[in-house]
Amino acid sequence: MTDDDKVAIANLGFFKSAILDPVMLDYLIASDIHPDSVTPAFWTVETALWLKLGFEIGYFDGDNALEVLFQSSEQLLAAWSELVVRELVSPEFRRWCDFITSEGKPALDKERFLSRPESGFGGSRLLPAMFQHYLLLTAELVGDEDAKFFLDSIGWTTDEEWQLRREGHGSWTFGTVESLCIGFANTAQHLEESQDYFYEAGVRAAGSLDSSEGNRLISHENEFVELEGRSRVIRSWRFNLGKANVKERYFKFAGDLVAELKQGGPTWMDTRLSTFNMLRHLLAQWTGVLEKQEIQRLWSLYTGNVDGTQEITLDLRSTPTEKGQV
Amino acid sequence: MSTKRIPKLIVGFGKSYALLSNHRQVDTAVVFVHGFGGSPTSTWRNFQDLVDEYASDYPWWATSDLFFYSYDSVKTPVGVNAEKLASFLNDVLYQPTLREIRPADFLPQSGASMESFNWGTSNYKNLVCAGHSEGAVLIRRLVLDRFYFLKKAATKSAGQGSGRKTAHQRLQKASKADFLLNAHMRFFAPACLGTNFSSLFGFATSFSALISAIAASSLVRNELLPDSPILKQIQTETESACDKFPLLRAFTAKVLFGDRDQIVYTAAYNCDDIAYQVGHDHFSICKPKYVYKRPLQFVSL
Repeated sequence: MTDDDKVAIANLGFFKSAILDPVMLDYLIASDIHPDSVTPAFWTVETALWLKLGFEIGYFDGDNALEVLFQSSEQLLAAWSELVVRELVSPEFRRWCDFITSEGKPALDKERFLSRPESGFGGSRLLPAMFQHYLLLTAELVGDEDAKFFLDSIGWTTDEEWQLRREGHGSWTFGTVESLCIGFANTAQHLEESQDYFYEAGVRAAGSLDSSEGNRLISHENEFVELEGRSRVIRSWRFNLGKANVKERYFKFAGDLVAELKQGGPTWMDTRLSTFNMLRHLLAQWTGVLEKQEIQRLWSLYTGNVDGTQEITLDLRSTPTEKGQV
Repeated sequence: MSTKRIPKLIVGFGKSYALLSNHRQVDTAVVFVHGFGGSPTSTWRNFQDLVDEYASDYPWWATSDLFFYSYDSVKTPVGVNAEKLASFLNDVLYQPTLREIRPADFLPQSGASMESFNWGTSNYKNLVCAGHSEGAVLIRRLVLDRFYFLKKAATKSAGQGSGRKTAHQRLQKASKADFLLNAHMRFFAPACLGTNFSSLFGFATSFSALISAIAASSLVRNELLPDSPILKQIQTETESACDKFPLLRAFTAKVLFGDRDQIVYTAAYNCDDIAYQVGHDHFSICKPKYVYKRPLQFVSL
């Protein structure tokens, strides 16, 4: 066995222990305790997509990835069926799940799983490193009960249930309001890091700086964009920001939390605006660039001025600074 | 030979994981401990990739295993977290199966025809503890706890009536041989002298940090205030221990702050070696980049 073979096997072992196994366990538990929640089904299907993508870029060995996929096929197909029945699968998401056949009873198609798109990935050393980074960030979310509770609550509940959870009397067994807040912070951190990593990896892929592989990396810039695009499709369900009411929840929730700091002075007002802008930039990777009217509306929700009469007069183009933790 | 690393989840410690080097002479363990509201991948972003990408500039990293520790930093008190960190170190530094990969465990069919293997070998001679913000506080508490453990043992073994001198000599001997007490400390923006929680506006350079600070348990926030008895005790006892045992490395730290840090008090203990980096804030100080390689150099020996 070569070192590369060993790495591919060890990568799969890590994927299984850090992501796949916890997700499958969650799915089994949630189907008993929270049968209405759709996020465990999404997480389950997401793991299959990471397996497929990891195989395509050479992070996993194909046959072994396939074996792992088949090990979890029962839950995977059940989760897939659940999402299809509820009409929650977007066309783009479905496109990359083509190894799950939908004619009649769902099944796994081995050949499709092991096929690579014609415009496949090449051999850039950057791609496995990027892919691993996505996995590490994903593992952080998978292992984070607060973030999972937050994502389920803000993205996939009715307005009524969301409100109940925010006020501390929702139907979720394990969640608390504190958990929602911490989950929001952790999710925001995840978004910040994904965004910053994307920017930095882009610089690396472009080879515009002093990378030791600069010349080689330039030819892989398209692959970098492709990988980022694919990973974005895989992750997009988590935030569900295509839905207007979900987007509003993010801003309203943020506004309510920031309002806790209210002092009324210029520092407070500047902080309120800069925090709004940071959130707006953070979500832009999923919402697209917002139009001015939409920004005004979200600002009104954020500041609690729901009739929308208060306008922003300060410059909204400011960019977020470096993010992180204390 | 270029360095290859494999990721390994450290079971029993939440999201903690290791990136294990395949170098034949791995002799150093670097343990990264994030801060308040942080996480192992996000806080230390790019260390995971750049240590190998810049192997030619920083060959020291090739013989190092990296451990990214995860803990609950917003709800659990410092003392409890320090104890958990001790348990983590015990597990990873002395675990004989750490480098063992058993395909049969996760590939029951293919694995049967695939041999288990060890991913290189390690014989750690050096330990580097890299802490960011609250992570540095945890590490310092951990070092003191270890020191007091040895002190008690030394006093006990010297027996009553043997006098202070014997106990001190025994402690000196035990400490000199102790792996943790001779570890190298590398702290980025440590919160050892307190955090500016009195005005959360300083946190607003990061959306997530601000929300974390708002959502955090008041107990943990209070523990990290400048006049916190927890921080005062760690400072007094570390400086005192350093005076008495100046050769024990773990009491002294190399400290790096960004000149734009608005979160923690940018000062260090008497025994520390402090430096400042222009153009960086509390969060960016510990993240190496193409244009900012100092963290790679700062952590290395």
